[in-house]
Amino acid sequence: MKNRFGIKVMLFMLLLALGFAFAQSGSGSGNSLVQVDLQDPMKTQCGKTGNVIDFTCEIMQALLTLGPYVAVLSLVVAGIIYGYSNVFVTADQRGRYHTLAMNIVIGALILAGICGAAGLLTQKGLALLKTG
Amino acid sequence: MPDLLSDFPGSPGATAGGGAFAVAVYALVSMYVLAGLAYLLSKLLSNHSYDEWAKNEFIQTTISAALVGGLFLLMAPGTGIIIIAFNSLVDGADAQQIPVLDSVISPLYGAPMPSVTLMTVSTTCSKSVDSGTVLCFAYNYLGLLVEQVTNLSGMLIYYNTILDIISRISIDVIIVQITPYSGISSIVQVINSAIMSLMFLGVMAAAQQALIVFCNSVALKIFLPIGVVLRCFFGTRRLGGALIAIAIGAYLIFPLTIAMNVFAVQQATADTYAPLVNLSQSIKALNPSSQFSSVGDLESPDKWKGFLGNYTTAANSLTAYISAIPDMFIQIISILVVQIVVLPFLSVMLTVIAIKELAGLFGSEVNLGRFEV
Repeated sequence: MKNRFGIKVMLFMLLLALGFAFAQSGSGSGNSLVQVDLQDPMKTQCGKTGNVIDFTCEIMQALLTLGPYVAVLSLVVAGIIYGYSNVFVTADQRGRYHTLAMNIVIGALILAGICGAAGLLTQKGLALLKTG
Repeated sequence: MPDLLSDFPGSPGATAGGGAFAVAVYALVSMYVLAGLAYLLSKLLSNHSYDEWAKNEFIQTTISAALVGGLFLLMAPGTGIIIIAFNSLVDGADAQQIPVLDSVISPLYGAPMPSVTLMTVSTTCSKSVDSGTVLCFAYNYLGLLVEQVTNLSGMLIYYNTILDIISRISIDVIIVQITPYSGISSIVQVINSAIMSLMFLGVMAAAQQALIVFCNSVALKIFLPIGVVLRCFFGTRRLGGALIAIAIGAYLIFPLTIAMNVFAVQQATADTYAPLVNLSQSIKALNPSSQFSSVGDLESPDKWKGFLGNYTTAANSLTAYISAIPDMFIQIISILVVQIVVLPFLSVMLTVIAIKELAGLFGSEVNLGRFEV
């Protein structure tokens, strides 16, 4: 319980930090509009001021870079597992390896798809409660 | 004071916004990718819990995206669908009249006598609170309560001062000092206590007004946008949901429950003030100008006869009503205690319950300790 309380205090501090950061960024003035290209979020130019906006932008770009790499790597690993199972594994054990390889392929394809469509998913999600 | 709500796009299809909106969008894109990574990991490790987490995260991120996109449409002051719906609840309420204690100058002694004025609770606010809102209605209602407490205190202080002076009158008889009206000092003490209670009630009502101003300036403009942004990150989703619930509770539920009190005590207040209405009418009947509309009337014996007859009747009624003044004050202070202390406590309870329920709706949890509902 004490640990949970500590986490709550930390989160509250984070909230305060976010509030101050937004206040410092001049939000609400109408002059600080941020253009986010949701068709291709990778092209977003992150600022270099080091505030919370740039920080989250950097995290987003890091994940968008990491995602496809992991997906391709997983496809390669799946291929290796599949090939290994066909060559070195006995017939009674091969099914397990095939299943694992196919699962990884499915996971990698879904990850690649999500990475490619993350911007569009966000765009469509943002429009869910809009009318007109 | 920053208005973070204005950071969110207000027109359909727009994807440009301020800093808060940008952070939310970056977080949403990141969370989609994280969900994908978690899904791949679940397949790699054949871990069912990761699989569940990834699917749940995907759904929650989509809900957060919908909240971010529809925030301005739903909750913009004055134009948001939910805000308009709630504000419409007090559309006809501003026609309600509630009795407010006032004072008139007695023609007998020139002393202020209690009177009652029917006043409407307006939905127009000049400053601090947005006009046409539930918050404004609640703010004006509390303002009338403060005015009532001030009027009553003023009257009591006036009488208390006179009684205090009378109670201290003393006569020196050689070496003995006689204070013939010292018995009145006990009444002075009683009125002192009543004044202190009224001061407490006045402070309570004014504090609630200040709370309404705080809710108006912070709930929608700060708490709600930060809550929505925090809800986009999986680590702060619960905190974000709680903040959204608190914002809605503070901006809509709390003032609505305060506004509800207007109707709850309207009849009770009217009944309590009925003797005071009669009292003020008797006082007005003693005023000669109520009988003599022109200078010529002063020469009419019939007018004088009528006036003296009415004067006797009104004076008799007045005597009866004056003897009932302590009882009236007790009744008035009692109803003020209900209006300023008891019902707002109920309002806070209802607001807390609403926040707890709303927090569950937004994927959070508010722990109230032993206060379980």
